[in-house]
Amino acid sequence: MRILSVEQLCKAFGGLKAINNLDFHVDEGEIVGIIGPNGSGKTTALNLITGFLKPNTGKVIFQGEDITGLPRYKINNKGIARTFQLCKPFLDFTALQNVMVGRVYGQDPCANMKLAASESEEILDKVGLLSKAQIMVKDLTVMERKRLELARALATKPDMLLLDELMAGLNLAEADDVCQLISRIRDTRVTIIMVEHIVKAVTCISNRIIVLNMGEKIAEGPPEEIIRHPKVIEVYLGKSHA
Amino acid sequence: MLNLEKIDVFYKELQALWEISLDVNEGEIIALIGPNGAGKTTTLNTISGLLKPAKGDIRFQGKSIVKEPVNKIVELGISQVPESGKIFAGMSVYENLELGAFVPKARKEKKQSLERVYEIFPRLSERQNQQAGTLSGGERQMLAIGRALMSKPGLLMLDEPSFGLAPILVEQMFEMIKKINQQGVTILLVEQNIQAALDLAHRAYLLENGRIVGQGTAEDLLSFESVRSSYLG
Repeated sequence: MRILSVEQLCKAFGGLKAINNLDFHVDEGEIVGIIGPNGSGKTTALNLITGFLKPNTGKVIFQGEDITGLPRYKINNKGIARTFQLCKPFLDFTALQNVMVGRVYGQDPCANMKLAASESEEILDKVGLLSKAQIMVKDLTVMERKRLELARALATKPDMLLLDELMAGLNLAEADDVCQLISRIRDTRVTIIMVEHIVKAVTCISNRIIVLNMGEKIAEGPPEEIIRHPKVIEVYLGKSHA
Repeated sequence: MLNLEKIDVFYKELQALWEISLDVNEGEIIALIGPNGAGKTTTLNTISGLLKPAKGDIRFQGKSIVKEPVNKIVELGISQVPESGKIFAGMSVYENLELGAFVPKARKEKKQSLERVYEIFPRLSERQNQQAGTLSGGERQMLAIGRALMSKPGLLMLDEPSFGLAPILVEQMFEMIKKINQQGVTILLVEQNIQAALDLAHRAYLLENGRIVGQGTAEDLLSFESVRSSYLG
């Protein structure tokens, strides 16, 4: 079942074509990786899908419905959640309160605070942060903040989750832990798109990888094909990965 | 060149570093590796004077610098590149570099330093009038390193220079670090890309929970089973 289609998407910043005629789709239950050089349009693509930017032309179809250009909270209410490259939690809230914000405002919002709190605790448990529920976020470590970023997005009950460089700054062993967590989330029927530079992580977890360069898709396919693709090696992977 | 002797550092009541001792010899590239939260950045911040140790001594070129303020430490020849660059986004590339040469000693040689930075990072020369906030991730990192070089440091401390960079840029970044080292700058490197860091470094220290738990040549560390399983996945 197709969950997302991106059709002929274009976005220019002044004279710069950040995204140029981008076409791709994602099926339900997939993990799709997006890779590409810095400045190739990966984050812009996520911003266009989630309503943080409006495209100049083209369409975003989610679960059969045209959601192009809708405000971001509406897109979130329809079942798309995201994380940010630089985590943006409420620093003076506890971990639990941060997750509750998602639960109170997301898809199927919950106005009963007691219920929202108990459901948010379940989500913290799922990402391995339950013991930190009452800790102020400013006192959490980098790894814990990454887990919290995931929990906050999950609290909005998404059908699809977009991850923007969640693993930046992690070593390979730490990235492995996050990979396992992402797989478990996928197993709870959440489709995943992840932008990532840690090639080992993205290749071992993705069903399919899309490669962007200068705003255009230059390759798409299963990970084992992508890492051998000459153009991808030239513009992105470099010799040491070939 | 640099000696840390049994440094203890606290954040309020929380002890972050426990008796850290390490040496950096002139001309070396030293890597500091370990998991997130181990105290790597805290160590750099303590050397540069942003944090003051509760106990222990730090000597640079034979003299204790542990009581010196940050600006004095820069003047003595230690420069730090913070994680994710922290450039002045609203200023031009040139203005960012100019600020790097603020200390009196470096100010006199600003012109030569600028030429040297542009030679190492030609991209910065092409973009010298561009607003720094519009640079790509790789260019920002180059600018942050360039700015640090403008103070003419003998010791350059780099905090995760590969953060958020595409693999091909990581490769180029490490080539540039090697080049800077070959020009006579000693380097202390904190890095999560452990394979790349150990390929580059002469020696490395492994930090866990605020303590040094291993040290040796890069080959030594790569052969530790615990390093392989805990950091290389």
